[in-house]
Amino acid sequence: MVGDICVRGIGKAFPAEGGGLHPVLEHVEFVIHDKEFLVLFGPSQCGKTVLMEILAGLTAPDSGSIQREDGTPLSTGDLCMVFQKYALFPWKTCLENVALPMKFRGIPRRARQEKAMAFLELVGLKGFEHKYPRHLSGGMKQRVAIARAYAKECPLLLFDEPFGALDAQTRLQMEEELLRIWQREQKTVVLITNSIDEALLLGDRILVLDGAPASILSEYDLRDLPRPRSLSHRDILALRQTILSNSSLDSNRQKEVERRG
Amino acid sequence: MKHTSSHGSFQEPWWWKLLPVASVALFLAVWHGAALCNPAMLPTPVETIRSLFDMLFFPTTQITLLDHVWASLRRVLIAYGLATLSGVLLGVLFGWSRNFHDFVYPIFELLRPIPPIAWIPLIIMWLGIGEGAKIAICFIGSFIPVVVNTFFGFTTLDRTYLKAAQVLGARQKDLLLEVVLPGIFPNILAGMKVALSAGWLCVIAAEMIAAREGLGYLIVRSMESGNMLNILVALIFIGSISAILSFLFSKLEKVVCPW
Repeated sequence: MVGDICVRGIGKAFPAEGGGLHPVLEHVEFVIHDKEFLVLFGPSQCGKTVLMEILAGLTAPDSGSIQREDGTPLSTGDLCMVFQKYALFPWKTCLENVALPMKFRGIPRRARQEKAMAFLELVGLKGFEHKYPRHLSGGMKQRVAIARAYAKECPLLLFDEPFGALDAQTRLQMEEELLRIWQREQKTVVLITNSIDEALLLGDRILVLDGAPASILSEYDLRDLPRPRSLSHRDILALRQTILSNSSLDSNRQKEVERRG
Repeated sequence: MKHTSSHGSFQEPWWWKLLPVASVALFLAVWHGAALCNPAMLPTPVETIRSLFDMLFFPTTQITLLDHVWASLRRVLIAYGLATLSGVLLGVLFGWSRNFHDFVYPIFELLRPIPPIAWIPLIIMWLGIGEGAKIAICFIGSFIPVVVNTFFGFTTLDRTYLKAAQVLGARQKDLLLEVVLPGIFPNILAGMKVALSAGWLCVIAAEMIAAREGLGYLIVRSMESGNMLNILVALIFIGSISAILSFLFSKLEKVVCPW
């Protein structure tokens, strides 16, 4: 059990070209509720991936903390991450890829392969277990990556723009698939995206991350909107309008264009 | 429009398969012509082939051709095995430990550009003219490409693989065995391929300077006795064995690296 997760005052800067520091994140603060589907929405290059890597424990923040409900720091053991570019190991078959987190935990071969098969079935890839990743399409690769993340059997899953590299059709299908699995497996999910539609379809809550340096600008609660959602629903359309006009996204873009022009 | 076909599969002209055969035939014809023009300087292909069969069954310089081939091959394989093991080890250490790399790599960079053949006199003074000297020279030739390619694999390995393994719960040992080594395996194989031909070149060179058997020795002895036929036969063997080794290696690569 991890419970609610408190993200407090996260800041991160990187060395800038020509000396000095280039701040990317400043005082990022939010709570991840237990078993919710949280979407972090922001434009590309705004520091979403850096924030994700800090949450995952891959990058150390300059300031701030990430704590579990009992006050202990969140550890990499509590979570798993799905990458935009799948990050499947090309030298392992689908089954071996999915079984890998269990191998790291020291689960015996037979047991972990049986479990890995079950996870591959969960994402609809039965029959592909002995294929290498290069034989699969982008959508199928991401399914394997999702199965692999579930195979770690941890309470928190991080998705870093998981469907950004897929075509629109596959993307929609994968989003529905992800919802189905999430509803069945009862885990906390944090997903970052630059697609407002993806955020509206999936999120229990949407946090808007933007600015330079980036911080959480606004928060929207969608828990009252019934699932499955339709993008053409009146409430969704209204919310879409609100998010786009309230967030600084549009005005920022405008400034950017003016500066370049 | 004559050369393009917008629909259907592209048809290979029937004579494409004959091109390699034609090129060998042309080569032999030119050789034969040159030999006829100046018989004192170059034996004909037919004479060379006949001499090859003679040498296979009758001893030249006390032992038969195949004994010479085996003597060279044995040295290469021993040196190659040692070079691969130690080369991969050093390359992995370079990639794995920043401190080790910074401390040892400068020395490696200083020694690396020295042609293996330039070591021959020193090695002979150290190790004499026994098997050890030839194997050592051959080892230097094979060792360097293995180290260079193994380490290059580290620098080009996609960091996302390491991140993914970390979030999946990999410990240091798992990172090395499950991610890094398989990840750089194609580079190691590439290094081993270069090392095989490099080792083969070095053994011939070493044998030309100090040996009593082997293809390199056969060439030098034949030169001293003015036997051009034997030299040509030895050259044919050096070329074809190297080609066969590369071919076998490519086959092996497909088996051990199926992804």
